Amino acid sequence: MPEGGLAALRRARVMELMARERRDVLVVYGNAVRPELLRYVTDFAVLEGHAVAVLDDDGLTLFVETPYEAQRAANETRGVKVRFVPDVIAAARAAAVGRNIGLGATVYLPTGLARAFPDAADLTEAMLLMAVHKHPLEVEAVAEAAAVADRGYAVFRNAVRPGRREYEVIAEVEAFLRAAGCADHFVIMAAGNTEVRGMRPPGDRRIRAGDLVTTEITPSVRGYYAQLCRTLVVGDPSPEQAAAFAVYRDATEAGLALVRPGATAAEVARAENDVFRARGLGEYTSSTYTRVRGHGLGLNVDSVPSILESEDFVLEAGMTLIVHPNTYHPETGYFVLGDAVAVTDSGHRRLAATPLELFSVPA
Amino acid sequence: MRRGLLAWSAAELPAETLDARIDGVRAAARAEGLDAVLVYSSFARPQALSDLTGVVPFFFDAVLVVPAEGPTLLVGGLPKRDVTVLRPCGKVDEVRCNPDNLAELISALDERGLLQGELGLFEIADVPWRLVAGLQSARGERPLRAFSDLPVIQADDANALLFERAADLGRAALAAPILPMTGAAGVVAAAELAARSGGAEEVQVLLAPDFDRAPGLRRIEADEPLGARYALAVSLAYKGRWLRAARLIERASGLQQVGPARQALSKAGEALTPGHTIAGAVEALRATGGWWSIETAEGGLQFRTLAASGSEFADGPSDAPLGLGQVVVLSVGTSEEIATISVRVGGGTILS
Repeated sequence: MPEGGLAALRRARVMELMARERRDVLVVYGNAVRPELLRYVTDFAVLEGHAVAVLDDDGLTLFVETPYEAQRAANETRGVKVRFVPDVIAAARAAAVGRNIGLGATVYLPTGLARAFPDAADLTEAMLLMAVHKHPLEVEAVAEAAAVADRGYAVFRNAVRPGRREYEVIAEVEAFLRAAGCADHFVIMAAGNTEVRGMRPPGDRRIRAGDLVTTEITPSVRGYYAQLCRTLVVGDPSPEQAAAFAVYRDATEAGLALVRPGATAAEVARAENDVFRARGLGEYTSSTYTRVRGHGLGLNVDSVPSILESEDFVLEAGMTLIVHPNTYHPETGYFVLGDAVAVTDSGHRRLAATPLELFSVPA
Repeated sequence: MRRGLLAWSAAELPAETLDARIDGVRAAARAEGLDAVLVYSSFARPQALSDLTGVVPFFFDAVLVVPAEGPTLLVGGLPKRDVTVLRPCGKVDEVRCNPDNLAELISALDERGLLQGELGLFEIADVPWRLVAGLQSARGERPLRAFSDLPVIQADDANALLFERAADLGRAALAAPILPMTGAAGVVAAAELAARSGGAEEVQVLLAPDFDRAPGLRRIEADEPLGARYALAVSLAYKGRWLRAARLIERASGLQQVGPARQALSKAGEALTPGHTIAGAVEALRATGGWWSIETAEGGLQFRTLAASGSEFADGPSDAPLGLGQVVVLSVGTSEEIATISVRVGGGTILS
């Protein structure tokens, strides 16, 4: 690990980008919905409100919106001047005014900040692309997160039983992840049958015999997320559930088989969707039933690229992503399956150890 | 994102209560000559949407349209299939979902004859520029108006019960780690398990594992040993109502350590009375010589800062009078102690 760890490594890359783009100052925005660029620069994962970092010759200053976040940021970062200010937008404008400014933001850039820097060069795309190309140490963090996801799914399987409420199941998974030193986690789930069209955070529904129980477990290690998608049955799978699973398994394998340098996101998505189309289920690969057929993994849960047939993004070694043909099945309900991978020089490395199978737990 | 229980309960947050809150927005809209008020929300700024509809935007963003007359509309930035997921999460007359929520919002406003009307946008500076610029473009660059007059709804009976439930969960989280734990990660896990298995919508746990060596609170990203004393802080929500609490704990005995800072907090809490400002509380907290803050649940954020040490308020700390039932969170940290309490104005401490 280089001195200063991943944070120092990333900050050095950002400085190189600023030099390339001839920017004297970089303003980076983040919130809890899209924290990745801010974390890339500051190593701080914002939980409450806006946070804005200003990087220039004088160093790195982080403005946060609540005193609690300021206390936390000061204790979780190195080489960052942290300031609580009630109006972070005004503070950032005051800190970076009149300079040759670059802006890294994402689609959540608040109106006040956009109006404060109308002439700033938008470096968002360049920063996102920079983050996609990972250092081997970043890939290892994703791999560690994938190993935690495997263990987390084992906890999930053990926690699912008839009569338990969904949120009680996820509470056990969260406790396991915190005990494992995992500070953050994205998780959605669903339980039921053909009435289930998608996933969400846990509700108060009780698990029942015969339920399909889906989940995306997505823990982070040192800020880097990895995801595992699996479906289980409470009781023995019905013939319809077993047959449906075969479609998702084949689609996942078909998508994974194409992951290598030079392949496009579109080719991976098409390989997945062709399996559905060949079985008369092409309708369920549309945006009516599903969002993406996988996505990048990194400092955000859902990073570049989106695995879609319309996405010509070219995969390269050092990228990490998940392939997941998650969608609705008319005979069983919403179904998920997917594995995280790292693109290597010769193809890809599967990061998940959990078998690609339809699990079952006692009814 | 939210990882705890997300479910609207009409028993806890009755439809009539939400209707009354929406009626308050409609009245404010009419008073300002607006045809509709738009309220943007994401899980980073969840409070206003949660207050008005019961919906917590768990990992997406959404715009609520409250017309001066006519049905309410929620446009969620989710796949279209997720209408069935989002609709039971709260009370809204119509729910639409579209990953391109700007296009969906423009279309819905146009269908209702509101697109070219007088539109007010709550906390406009905090709303993503993508939405504001897109809306203005669709209106022929006709500007949106800022709207700030959301009704203050903290004191109603439904909120009081939700805050009490959140306080119960906070107490459970703080009590859970007082067991022979061996490491920091175990303390955090125990606190989260207690809160989440009790139905917390979300809980964020910070720790100073060895308080006497490093008193700063932080998230735990790898297990580490506990010192003789550790500080534990939780921020948690139950169905949209957020509270905070923190304690300093002696590891050997599991007992809470109480010193001058907590006494100052109690004094500050007693100074929070209906119709008066926070000036008395500020004075009590300043006297500790440490860092301190006074927050309340108001506006779009979970917590709005009324006053804090070392901060730069353009107009100084809030001089607004406190309302009966308003919930205020007081925090203080010194080299000797850290403590946070949540106080209901006119009703005493609800979580400490």
